[in-house]
Amino acid sequence: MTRPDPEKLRRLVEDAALPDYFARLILQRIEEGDYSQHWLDSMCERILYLETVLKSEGDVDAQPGRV
Amino acid sequence: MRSLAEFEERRVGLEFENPVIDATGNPASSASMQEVWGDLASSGWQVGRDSDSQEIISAGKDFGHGTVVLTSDCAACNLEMALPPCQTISEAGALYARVSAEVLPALAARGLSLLAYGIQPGAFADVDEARIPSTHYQALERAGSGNRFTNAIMLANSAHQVGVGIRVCEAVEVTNELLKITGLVVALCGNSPIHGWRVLPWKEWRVLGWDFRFIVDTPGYEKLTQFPSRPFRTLGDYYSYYWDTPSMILVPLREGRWILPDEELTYGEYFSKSRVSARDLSGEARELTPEPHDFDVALRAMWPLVKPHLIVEPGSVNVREFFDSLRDDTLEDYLEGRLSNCYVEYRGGAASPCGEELALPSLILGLVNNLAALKEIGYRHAWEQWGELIYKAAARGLEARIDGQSVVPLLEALIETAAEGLSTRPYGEGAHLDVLRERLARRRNPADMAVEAFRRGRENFLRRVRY
Repeated sequence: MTRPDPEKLRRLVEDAALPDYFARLILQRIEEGDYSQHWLDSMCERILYLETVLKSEGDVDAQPGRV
Repeated sequence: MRSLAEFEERRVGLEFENPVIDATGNPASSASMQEVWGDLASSGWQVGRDSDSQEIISAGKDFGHGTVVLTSDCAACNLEMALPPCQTISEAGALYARVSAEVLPALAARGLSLLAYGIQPGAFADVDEARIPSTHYQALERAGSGNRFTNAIMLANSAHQVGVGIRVCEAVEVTNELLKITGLVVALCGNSPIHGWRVLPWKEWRVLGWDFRFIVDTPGYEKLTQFPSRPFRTLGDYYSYYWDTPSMILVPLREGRWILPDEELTYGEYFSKSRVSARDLSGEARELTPEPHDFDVALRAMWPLVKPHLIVEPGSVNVREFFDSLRDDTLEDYLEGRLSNCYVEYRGGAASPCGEELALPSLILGLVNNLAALKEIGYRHAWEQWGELIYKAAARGLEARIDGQSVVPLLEALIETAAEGLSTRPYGEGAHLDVLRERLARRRNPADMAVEAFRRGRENFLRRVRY
């Protein structure tokens, strides 16, 4: 069993340009500290997959930006 | 959404969710929505309260076609209109217009607006404040298949769902074929590219949220909302796939209260017992005897992007016979004539732009009504490729590719397949698909249009998406 690595998930969330409410929910849960290895691993896996899709799909039209 | 099971021509039901915003463009507060619910109660709507918090969470009114139900599901800032089934798309559209004519002024009177958009565009000051204090979600948390985190994952998102009447013998085939083309629907109808007043790198975030909905501390629940690992052979195969979780997702209801078994049981284990010790949410001890109406909970306890929605006729289903037919893989035969409702619920589309709400229902109705031609499209790519297309389409919209090829020819074929399906009905519904043809012709889906408007300023964007 691998050691939980909440910092890895925190970095992924902060780098992934996820919707604000969604990122805040994940970070809140990490902060509260009540989660399993399965949750950590699965969340990392899904976010990494989304990042892979974005990279493999090349330049997306909608670049992040605030108005 | 009753009475979709019996038909000569398929009936269609609309189940539309839309974000509710305040005057600043940010999510409406729970307090302001309570005022709206109260106003609706004063104008003839029958409100429903959560049995625990006593907050109003729904309202119903009969418009002559059956009861229209308004609800806030997991978030106060999301309004769902569930309309009873109608014979034609135009009838459904007329009913939708009548309901909107009551709901929109009620929102406006409290300084709120409904958005034709698939996600809250603004920011939540406090995510916890947006939650609905629902016993339904408490039950999910207590059953171990949800928690405060997962139950909040979809609170910003709004879908336009479509129900189309089907026969039980075609339920699985329709489900498989509509699942395959969901990436195409996302490419054509994606409408959630802005949240927190930022343009996301996704044209359709909304559909991606579902992947995270059932990632909980225990493995085995994820499949309830993710793209299935394989197509389904039969109805028995479908339920065996979704009931193979560590425990029941939705627990039995008695007198409107969720009752939790004392030990974790799968649906198969629960229905095999004659008595089960249990407790209600307040902790009071109860004894459950598995009953046929528990099937109505079990049969809807999964949330894939396409799901057959079956409701058993009271008194017609026997628990042992049901499981015998499940074991023998003859559920379609057993359930024939034993259902009071049978429809496919299509959940892959975001809330539509203003004035384009009938396009997606027309597409889905037409496709279900032309299943043989829809299967020809489905044969063109492997199941896994169809699954991956959802993500590519969420990122690229109409520029997405499958097996290296543009989705545009597939979408042209899809729309014409739906047009053929509608043309065999005597209601002249094909014109509702023109909106989709226009999106293809200009190579822009609703997300592209929303981002273009947003680049010209927040107010410009809100003018475009606000009802």
